[in-house]
Amino acid sequence: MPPRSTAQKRLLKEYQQLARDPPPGIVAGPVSEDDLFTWECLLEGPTDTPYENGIFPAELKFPQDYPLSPPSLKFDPPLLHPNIYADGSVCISILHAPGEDPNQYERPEERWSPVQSIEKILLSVMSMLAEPNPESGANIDACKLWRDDREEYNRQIRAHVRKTLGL
Amino acid sequence: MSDYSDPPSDPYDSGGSQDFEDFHDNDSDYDVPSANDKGKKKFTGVEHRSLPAGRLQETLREDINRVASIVGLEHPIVSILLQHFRWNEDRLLERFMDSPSAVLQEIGEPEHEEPAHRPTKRVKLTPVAFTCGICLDEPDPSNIAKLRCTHAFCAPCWRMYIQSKIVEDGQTLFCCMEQGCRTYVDEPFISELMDSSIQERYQELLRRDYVKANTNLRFCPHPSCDETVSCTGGRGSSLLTEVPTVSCGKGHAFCFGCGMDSDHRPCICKFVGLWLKNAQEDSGTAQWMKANTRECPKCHNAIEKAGGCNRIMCRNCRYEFCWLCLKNWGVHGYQGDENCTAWKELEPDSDASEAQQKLKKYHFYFDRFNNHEVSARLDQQLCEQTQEKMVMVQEIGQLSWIEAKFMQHAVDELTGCRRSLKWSYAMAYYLAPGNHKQIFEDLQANLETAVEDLSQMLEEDIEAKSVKGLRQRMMDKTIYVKNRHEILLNDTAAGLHEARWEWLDTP
Repeated sequence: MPPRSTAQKRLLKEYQQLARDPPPGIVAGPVSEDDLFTWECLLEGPTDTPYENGIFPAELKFPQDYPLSPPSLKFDPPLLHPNIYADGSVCISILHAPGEDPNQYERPEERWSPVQSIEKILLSVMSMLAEPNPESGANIDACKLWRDDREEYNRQIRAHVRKTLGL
Repeated sequence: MSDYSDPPSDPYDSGGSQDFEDFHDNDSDYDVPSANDKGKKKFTGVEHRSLPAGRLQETLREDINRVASIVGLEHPIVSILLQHFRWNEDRLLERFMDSPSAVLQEIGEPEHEEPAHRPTKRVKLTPVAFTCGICLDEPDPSNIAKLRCTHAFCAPCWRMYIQSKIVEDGQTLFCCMEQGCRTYVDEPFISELMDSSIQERYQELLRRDYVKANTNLRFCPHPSCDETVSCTGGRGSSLLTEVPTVSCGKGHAFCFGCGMDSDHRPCICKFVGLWLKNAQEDSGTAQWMKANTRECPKCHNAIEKAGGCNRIMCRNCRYEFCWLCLKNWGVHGYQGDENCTAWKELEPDSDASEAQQKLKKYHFYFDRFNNHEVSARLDQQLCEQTQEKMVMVQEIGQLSWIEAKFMQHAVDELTGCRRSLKWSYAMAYYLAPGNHKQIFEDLQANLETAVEDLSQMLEEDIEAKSVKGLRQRMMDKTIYVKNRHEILLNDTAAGLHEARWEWLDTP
């Protein structure tokens, strides 16, 4: 076996931990044994939200210097949400390294640090689905819809959920 | 005579004149008065001193030591404090005297019960399984490092983190890896973990931060020069009344005000910046567009009239209009046999002619600016070519080695003069017309004539029998040029000092 980098060792360990003790509603793992830097995840929509019953696939991409730098997370297909860009990329503080803050809203302690974990990221994303943060919006249309016409917002998401489930 | 083997010091400061005086004393061929006119107040040069890299490091350490002795904290903590306060000692001390604990809290310093603690130490943990929060490995207890905040990770993870912060991000002030912990990593901790190349890089970054924060310091901008110049003036509004040219310990002249790596006297920093920006953005092009194109009245696309006909169709929006009156071709009455009602208004609008005028002015000054830049290079080339001949002349015993140096002296003086002349054109571009500008231009013309004469001598053939005569003439001319040069620089500097010059707002 070739010598593994810190990033690979850590990713493997995190994968083992997630597989052993998966948090509810989350399935995640590397796409293949050969490439530990790309993960596939399935996130369950939180209950009592329009996302309920939905299963949302997303891709985690890790940089070579992980865990010094955070991974990026992208929903595929994109999801309508104030904190998800139109291309599906997720914008939350835990995925931003301290120092870079595109929207100037985040406290350093909420940001990425090497002691965070994939599990914490995915849990944060779950709670983001339940409680959008319109202050640091990534998708302005979604922000407006969420703020001004919650019913239409909910309806569009439920339609999306039904479509993805093939109903 | 050792003067000529020394690195050239700033040729315009008093040291430079001293060189020439020595030259004069030792060489009876010189019977022109010394260029150093002691009767007048000089406006050239600002007081400054140069610090080699090692001396800068000492200055930085002295600052840390001094503050450490006042606040009574360990040096690494004081270094962090000073960096945090952007090396503003007064503000740091004021805040610290108000409330030491608030300041320490602000920089995320953990509270210690024992006042006399070593800032960092590697601790031996009891062999209760320790898992590093980064790599999730269980390292050997001897391989665990703990920061002042008591957060511990394995040494390889710390190294990876510190290396990425110092080498890739270029930071000297960064926090512990633990989530939400704001304690800064201190210098002894870095020294203990990292190899010497990283430590050296850390020191370099620290020096850079120190110089950047200190308005009295500036690195010599010449490539691979590690000197730093300390100067008390040359900042803020004084830049409108002086050109703070300084030279580092290795003889590189630069401007302390704007950091330009060359002597840009007599032009002040403000106009040097404007001039260079102009040249860079090729605002000449913008001026040309203004002078030679018209906007399509519909889509505002710039159109140049390349042919004779006044019927213009915009390529962008296909709108047809009359070049002269800018009205729609269809309705303005030029169809059939009718004449364009605007036909007689032949003069281009005043906006365009003004722009044309401005463009001409800019080109006038830029050509001369550029010409001196090119000529200075050519002079240098010519000098190099003639060096061979000089060697030959020396070999047949006409001149001694030191006597054959006159040509290099002439070229050095020429280079300096051409640099000043170059910038004098940039300055003239921004000067408001009037008597003062007239006088300035006379001085400039005087110097320029002398410079061209001297430059021409460089092209003369060097023959064994005439070389002594040429040498005499060139040395005389060099002294004369040097004199004119000083007069120009002194007069403009005095003018700046007295606020004699009037500037155009929009040249």
